[in-house]
Amino acid sequence: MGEVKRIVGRKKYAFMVIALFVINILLFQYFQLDTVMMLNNPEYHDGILAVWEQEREDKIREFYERHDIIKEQKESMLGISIFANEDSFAYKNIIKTQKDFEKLSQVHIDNINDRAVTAFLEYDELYIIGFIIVMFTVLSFFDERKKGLWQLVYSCRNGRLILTMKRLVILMAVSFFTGFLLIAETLTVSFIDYGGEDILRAAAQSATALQDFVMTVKVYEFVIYYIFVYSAALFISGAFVWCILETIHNRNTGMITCVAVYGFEFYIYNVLSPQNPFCIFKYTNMFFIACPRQIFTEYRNFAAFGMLFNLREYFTWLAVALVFLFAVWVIVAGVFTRPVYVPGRFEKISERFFDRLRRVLCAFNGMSYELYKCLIQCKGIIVFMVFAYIMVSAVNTGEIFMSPGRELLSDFYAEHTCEINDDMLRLYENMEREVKESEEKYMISLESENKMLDELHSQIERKDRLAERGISGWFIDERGFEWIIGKNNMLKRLTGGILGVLALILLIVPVYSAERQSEAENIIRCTKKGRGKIFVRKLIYVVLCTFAVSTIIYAAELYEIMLNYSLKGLAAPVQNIKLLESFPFDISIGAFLGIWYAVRTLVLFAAACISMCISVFNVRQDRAYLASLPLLPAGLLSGVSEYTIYNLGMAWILPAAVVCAVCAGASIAITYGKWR
Amino acid sequence: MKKHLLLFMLLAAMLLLVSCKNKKYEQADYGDSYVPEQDAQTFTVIKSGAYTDKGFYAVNAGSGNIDFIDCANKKAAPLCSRPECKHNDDSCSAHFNNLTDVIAYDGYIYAVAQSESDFMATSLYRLSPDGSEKVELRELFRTEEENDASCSYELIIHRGCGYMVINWQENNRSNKRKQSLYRIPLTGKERTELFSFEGYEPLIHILFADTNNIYFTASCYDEADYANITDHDYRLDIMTDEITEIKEPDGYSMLAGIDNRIYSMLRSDDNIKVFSMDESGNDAKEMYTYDNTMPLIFRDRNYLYLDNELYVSENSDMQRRITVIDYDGNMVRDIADIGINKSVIWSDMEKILLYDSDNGQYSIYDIKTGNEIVTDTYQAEEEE
Repeated sequence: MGEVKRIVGRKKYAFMVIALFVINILLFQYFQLDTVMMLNNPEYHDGILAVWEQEREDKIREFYERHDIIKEQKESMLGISIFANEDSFAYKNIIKTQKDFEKLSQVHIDNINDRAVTAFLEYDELYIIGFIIVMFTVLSFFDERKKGLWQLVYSCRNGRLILTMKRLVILMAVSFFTGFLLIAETLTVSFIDYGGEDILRAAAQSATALQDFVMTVKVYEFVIYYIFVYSAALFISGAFVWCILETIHNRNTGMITCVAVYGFEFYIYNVLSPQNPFCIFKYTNMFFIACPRQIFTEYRNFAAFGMLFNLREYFTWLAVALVFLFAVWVIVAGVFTRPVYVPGRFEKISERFFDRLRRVLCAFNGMSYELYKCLIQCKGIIVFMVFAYIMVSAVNTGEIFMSPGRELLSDFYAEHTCEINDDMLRLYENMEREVKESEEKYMISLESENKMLDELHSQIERKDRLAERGISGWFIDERGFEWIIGKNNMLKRLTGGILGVLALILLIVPVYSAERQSEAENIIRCTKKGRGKIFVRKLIYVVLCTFAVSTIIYAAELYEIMLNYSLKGLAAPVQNIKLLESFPFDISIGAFLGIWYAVRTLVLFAAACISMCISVFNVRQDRAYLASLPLLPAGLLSGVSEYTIYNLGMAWILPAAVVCAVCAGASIAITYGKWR
Repeated sequence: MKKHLLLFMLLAAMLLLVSCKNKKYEQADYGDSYVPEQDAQTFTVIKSGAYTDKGFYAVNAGSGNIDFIDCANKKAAPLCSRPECKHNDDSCSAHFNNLTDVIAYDGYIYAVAQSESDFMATSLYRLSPDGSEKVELRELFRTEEENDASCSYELIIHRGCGYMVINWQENNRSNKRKQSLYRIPLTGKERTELFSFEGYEPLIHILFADTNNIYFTASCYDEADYANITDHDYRLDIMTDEITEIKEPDGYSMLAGIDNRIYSMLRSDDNIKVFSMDESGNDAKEMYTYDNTMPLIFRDRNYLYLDNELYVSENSDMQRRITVIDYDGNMVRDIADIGINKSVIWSDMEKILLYDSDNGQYSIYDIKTGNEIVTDTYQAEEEE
């Protein structure tokens, strides 16, 4: 009971859990907002209901027809030689599929309002919230290590096996109640929004999202099954992290290992397709386990080790096995991992290396030593190298094969990227005339030349429009610039932005919190240069990190673009890029790009400063990391999404710059005030 | 001592990595005989079909999926073993975005289609013969626009490697362009240029693969005023990467190359004649005369197929027929009374596969007997 009170009974924990449950409801409602508003609008209410009803009728008809279709298909497909080998996956898959769907032949489904269940099943954020609650619980298991009481606790009679068993039970209970309450509250809110509670007593397949769910159960039975599977998934996720942190002495290393493993699992999950021979690793995957909705809404069989597995059945048994496995691992680790840490061979080598490095660095002082602390002692250099590696690896160095028309354009722009004046117009007219003459003479259409002329003609038309605003029109190759600011490269920009913010968080959080955690803060602050000068050095470090991270992001972007496109014509007015034709200010493309990159850098700098501010208020690095994570969405702003370009029409630049500058300035001021 | 050992191991690892990266491609020698699993299947430039001992694989012109046509059982179905599948999304093995080629090689089926991760890229996929496994092996090339209609490419997989050209079908008289033939490994990102030339509207067509030789033709306009098309035929020795020009007499177009003999055609106003000759254009022997001037011509190791599809329409009196001749000039079979809506897809040297676009059915004609086998066809649901 003492352990339960210590973990679950803490005000902070209780407040956090309640807050997350509230966030869950708010988030769910946010996603339903548009639909619910339209449903509550008398003008659209009946229309929407009619559409849903029609969709359900179509799905029901499809459901009843499918059984016969699958049976016919089975007979037909088994008559085809490539599917007829009884040892092959194809044969087994056909037999199993028909057998599984046969179970549904006696199921009767009615046209019942299933909107609530469908909305609930489409809501994936539930898994994230449950995951956070379980992670908070698991991190609480390491409080005695944080407070330096591990040896004391470990040496107590009940401080090893009994304590671990208690925590195991706590984790199981937290997983179950979290799963139960999250599902119950989400489903309840969904029924309040959409009604249709009758569906709970109907067959599970009455919900159109569950028509591939081959168990003959009612909806309420499905919900119970879902709760148990979800609870098991939560327990497995929590126990997995617990196992790693329990086994690895150094908590920072343990956390990095967890992040690395989940990152790897995420990569594997996305890279492997369902038909890949190694797809078992897609489904035996911590990322997949954390979010197992697919096992309910899709029917899928896959092959592994020469055998056929049904995804839902496999996952259910896997969950049972992993619950048992991780429970055993946690118990063994909890009993046998001792508080006394003996460094391994690699750590001994690195200790000797850093020891020698420290002696050399004694000759350095000031900024150099500050850099050493943050980059070497706090492992910032590893973060930076991993980030640089990811950004460089993501650069697509493949050559783009240009059409002849595009090549002609490129050749033209190589010579004639300039203002469209009378000479250029005459040149264009000559080219047009030559092409027409060739076409008449040889009675063919010169497609490449016409492509080029069409493009140039559109730029001449734009020149005429711009002339009305007193802006000069240019012949300019827009493609490279469109890649820099347009939607084709948007996903990469967004990813780069988020990774950049994450890298900055990891680089900057230790800048104050490391010193507060090691309690060197008071010593440093009472030295002559320990307030003002140290603050300036740390701020310079933040600036350097921002500069380095943004340089890597932009260099990777520009390198990929310039492999295939030229960026000539920076002196041209920015309105010569189609996307920016209505830009209100008279500046050059070069100046615009300067502002573009400056604002994106400012966003990153603001995130870095806020991270620094969070760091100065936290006595523990891990808490500072967690508190900084909400800054990640700033990466989306830095990446400049399609929404901001097309909907806000570049009007975002000035407000974004002002807001970021204010945030950065305020963060710096607050940090200075706190440190001083 | 231990430090020295660690340093040595690090250096050895680095050297190994460098040497692996710089390793020149070494072609495995499968000998001078035809090896069914390793030699490329050739029939048409557009590889919309392939065959194995079980049956044919074809790109379905309607759905854009891969179909399997079982000759023995007279059935056809998408290459997907999921009875509940609608074959219209990425969860289906048979379904691709913009599928163009299907190739049978070394016990697998290879498909060329739009990449799943990059809409501007075209990728090479590998599937198991029953469709239970599907892997995106590598990116073949990228273009500026998705599914650019003016871009056509050719790929064959022959004795361990792919050979690829990317042609642009755009009329262009302003400047000479470079056109290249590439060798590509089936995995990885490398691409080695084996042959290139410059000209107005340059095109390379890979015609035929025979043991250690690949025959291709390179054509372009030799002047900017559409005066003449220059047409050169070449043979690539894949063991040495040596390119030899085939010196055919003027006016001849190469069809195939088998056992160091070249088979070419000469078109006149009334007919076309098929000749065989050596690589220098000597020892020419007339093999066959075909009475139409514009047949569709297909070829494999055993036969030439002459199809009068272009002549036949609903109103013409001419009957649709496919004439099969061997490389000794003997007519093996004249298959007549073929529907006008049927297009030839592929041949396995014993049967010819056709597709009827009107009813979505496949037909197979036996070369020896000329009899037709009509298959049942699974009709995939339309994409939503």
